Amino acid sequence: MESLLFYVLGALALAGGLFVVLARNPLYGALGLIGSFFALAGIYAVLGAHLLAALQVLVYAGAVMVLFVFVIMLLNLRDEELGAPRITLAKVGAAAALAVGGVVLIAKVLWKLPGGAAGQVVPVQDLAASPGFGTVREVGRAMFGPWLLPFEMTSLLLLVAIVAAVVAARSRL
Amino acid sequence: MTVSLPHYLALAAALFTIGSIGVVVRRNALTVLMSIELMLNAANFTFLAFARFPLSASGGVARAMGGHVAAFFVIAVAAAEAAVGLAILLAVFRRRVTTQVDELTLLADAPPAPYDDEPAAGTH
Amino acid sequence: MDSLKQIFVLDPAQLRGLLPIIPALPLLGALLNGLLGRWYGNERSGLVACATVAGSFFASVLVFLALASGQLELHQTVYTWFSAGILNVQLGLTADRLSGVLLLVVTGVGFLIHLYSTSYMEHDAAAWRYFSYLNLFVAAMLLLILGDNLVTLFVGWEGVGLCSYLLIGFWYQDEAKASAGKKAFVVNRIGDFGFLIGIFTLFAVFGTTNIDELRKQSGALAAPTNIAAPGAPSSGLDVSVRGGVFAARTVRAADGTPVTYPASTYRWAIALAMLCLFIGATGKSAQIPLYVWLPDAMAGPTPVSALIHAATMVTAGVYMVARMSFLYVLVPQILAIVAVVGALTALWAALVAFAQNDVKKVLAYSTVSQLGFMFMGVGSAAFSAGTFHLFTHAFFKACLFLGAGAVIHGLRDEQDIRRMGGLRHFLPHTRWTFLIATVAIAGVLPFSGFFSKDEILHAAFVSPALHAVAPWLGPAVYVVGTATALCTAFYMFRLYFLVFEGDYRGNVRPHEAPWPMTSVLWILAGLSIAAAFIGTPWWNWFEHFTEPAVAKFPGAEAHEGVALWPFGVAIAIAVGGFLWARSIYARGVPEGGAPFARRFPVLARASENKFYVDEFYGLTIVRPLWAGAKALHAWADALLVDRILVGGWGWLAKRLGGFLSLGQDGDMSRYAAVTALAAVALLLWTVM
Repeated sequence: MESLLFYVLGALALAGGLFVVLARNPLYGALGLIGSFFALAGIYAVLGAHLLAALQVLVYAGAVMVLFVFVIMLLNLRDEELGAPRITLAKVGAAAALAVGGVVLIAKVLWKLPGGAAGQVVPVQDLAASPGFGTVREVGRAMFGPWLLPFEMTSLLLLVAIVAAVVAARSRL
Repeated sequence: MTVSLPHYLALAAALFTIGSIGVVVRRNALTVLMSIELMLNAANFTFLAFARFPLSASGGVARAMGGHVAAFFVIAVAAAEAAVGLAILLAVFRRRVTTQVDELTLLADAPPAPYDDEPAAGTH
Repeated sequence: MDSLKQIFVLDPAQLRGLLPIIPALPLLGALLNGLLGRWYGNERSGLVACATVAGSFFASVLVFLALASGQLELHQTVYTWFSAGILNVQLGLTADRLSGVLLLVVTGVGFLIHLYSTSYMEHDAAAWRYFSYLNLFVAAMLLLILGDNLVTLFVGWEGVGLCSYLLIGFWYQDEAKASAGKKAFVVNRIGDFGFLIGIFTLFAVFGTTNIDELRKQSGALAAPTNIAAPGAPSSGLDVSVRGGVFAARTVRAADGTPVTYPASTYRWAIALAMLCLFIGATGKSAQIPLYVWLPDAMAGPTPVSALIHAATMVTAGVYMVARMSFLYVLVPQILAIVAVVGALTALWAALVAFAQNDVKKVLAYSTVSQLGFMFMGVGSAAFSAGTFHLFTHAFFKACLFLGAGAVIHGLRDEQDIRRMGGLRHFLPHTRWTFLIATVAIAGVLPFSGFFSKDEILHAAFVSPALHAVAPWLGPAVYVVGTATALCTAFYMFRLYFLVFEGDYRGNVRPHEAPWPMTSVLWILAGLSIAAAFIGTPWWNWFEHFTEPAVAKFPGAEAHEGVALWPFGVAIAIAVGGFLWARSIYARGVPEGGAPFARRFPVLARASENKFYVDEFYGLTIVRPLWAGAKALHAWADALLVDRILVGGWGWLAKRLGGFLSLGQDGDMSRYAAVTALAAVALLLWTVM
């Protein structure tokens, strides 16, 4: 069951990602991304990260992507303004390098690479069955325990981001 | 075959690669920002995968929750970053009416003037 | 003289404490006048300057008496200047019989000239500066005389050169005068370079610069071999490191006998050193080839010409040769060079003096010529004779210069003798003292110049040192010297006649000099006469007195009696010169020039133009140097340093910066692309 969910949702996520990168109209890309996020939320749930799955949908797909869509609508770019893709050597080279790097990484992860160090990653255990794994209680315990300071700093960060966004987007400075 | 850690990591790597290619290749700033979000998500995914399949035995659930907490923070930061980035994009668009990132080259110099050959100052 | 010990309550040897005072007083005077003179005025500066030199004079008299009373040498070390390894230089002062005499001359004549200057310079606004420099000069000269090692002597040597420059260019607002000062300094410097090489060579050979040490070590060298008997202590030659690189060595042969390798091979080094020291002397004492600064030096105030360029500074070269006599007698070839250069210079300068029309220039060339005589004397290894001529020359030459100063002063700065004449009516004191000094320099019995010149010529003729080099050399020097004496008589009397006899040819009403000037003239004239009597061939007190201080050339015997024929020649020459001059110039400037000038016009004009020596130097030395300097400036300085080495860095920074800034244009997708590339590379490198 898990495998099936993984492959299906994984394919959906990949498809969404490809949509983002390949679509000419950013609105289509945004829609693709939303789909990808939903698929990922599902995979998170399969991974036992129930809270995070919910948060993914609420915050990422629900708030961030909505913001994106608002801005896309606001800019209201017509087709001509979107411009033709400019192919430069740097871009091609970088893209190719990234592709190669990605392939190598995946291969390393899945199989032992000749000359590589550790080869396949071998987990010690599977914690998904543990009681309370991924629940609000356990995550809360961790967050307000050892991770309290980063939590507070993040709240500060959010404040700063709000102020920055308001200032930057003003029509008259 | 049972789906285990390597498969999740491979999927994350693939998503990350796609996102990074998108950042590099695409000209539209909005698309670039969305590709960045994709990369962040891939990172999140990796955190959660390792949270479920830790590589060391110590700590148990409490320790593994650290991965979830980290992912939580990543979401928060990504949201903040998206907000600010879009605000900047709006500001730029208002002044330059372009969202193509490779047209924003204000930092570049004018082509250099031809070098004049006067001798060093202060010669006798 | 032992009675002097009873006169002194204290032991004469203790008078060595006086030695540092002798140069210190004028130095103090120089500082006071230099720093405060502007404030307390010109008159008081003159007073201060005269007082300090007078103080030095009294101290010198006391030292002299102590030396006369049997104490052959006084020595006082002030402090150790520097000491590094085997090089140990003290600031030490030594007074022996030779320097004692010179101390009297320098401080005595110096005092008289300071007195004269108070009157001569009374209208000059910057007289305080003049007196400061003059005192500084006396201090430096005294340091030169008293220095007990070559380095201290060199300090004094340089010091007098500096003061000469300062005083020649005293009226520096006039560019020609300032240039004359510069020329003097530069030419002197060339000589000083030779002097330094000499000092270094001596140090390399002997390991010391102390004159006393040098004397002791050279004494050992004079003996050709020094083989000690087996078992005896080594020969007394210093074979340690102190002996220097080229020292003689004592080694043990196979059978144990010590064998000394004498330093006779190193006589070449000593010869080189003494030659280099002599080159320094040609600069300081105005001999060929470095005499060209002395005529130009007449641009300075006349008392300066009297003191520095007649009586004292220019004699430093002669003094140095006499001082180092113990080394010079080891290398007779160098002595021969000294004598020959002296003789040639004497004749050459005398020929130039024939046609000069500026009173001071005539006297300047006369000085060069008389210095040549002195070098003839010391070059013949007759060190006392040369020094005696130095002694007498100081008196009559100073008298001549100061007399010329009185004339110039009386004619309101006129110096051309063609516009003088008949001044015997207007300037009687000056006329008589000038006449006395002229007779003295021409070498007429019984004035001092006669005895000193004659002693030199005689010494040259019989000189064993010159004979050792070539048997005809001594007589040849004698002939040249005698010819020069004839010329000397001629041009000096020409000068006298044109200035004082005949009718006055000028426009300004002349007036006699004030009493400070005339009294000094009379004192010096008196000394020109009196000094004769301490150096007569029958009773030569001077020679006996200085004998312990100078070396003898082996084979030089005491007087084999007094030969009379040189006297006859000398008197005949002096009288002949006088008559010759009188026949031409007694009534003033002859119509159409002198007879020989009419017959040899080219020579006469050449003589008037100093035989074009300055022009020659200008062409062969000065112009190439200037061209070289200009080229170096253009290539090495302007091009290499300014444009390439300095400007080049700037250019490089600019180009490099320009190139690198092409990458900073804000094109974000390119930034991202490059970053991605780098990240991938890093990843692959760690993962693989």
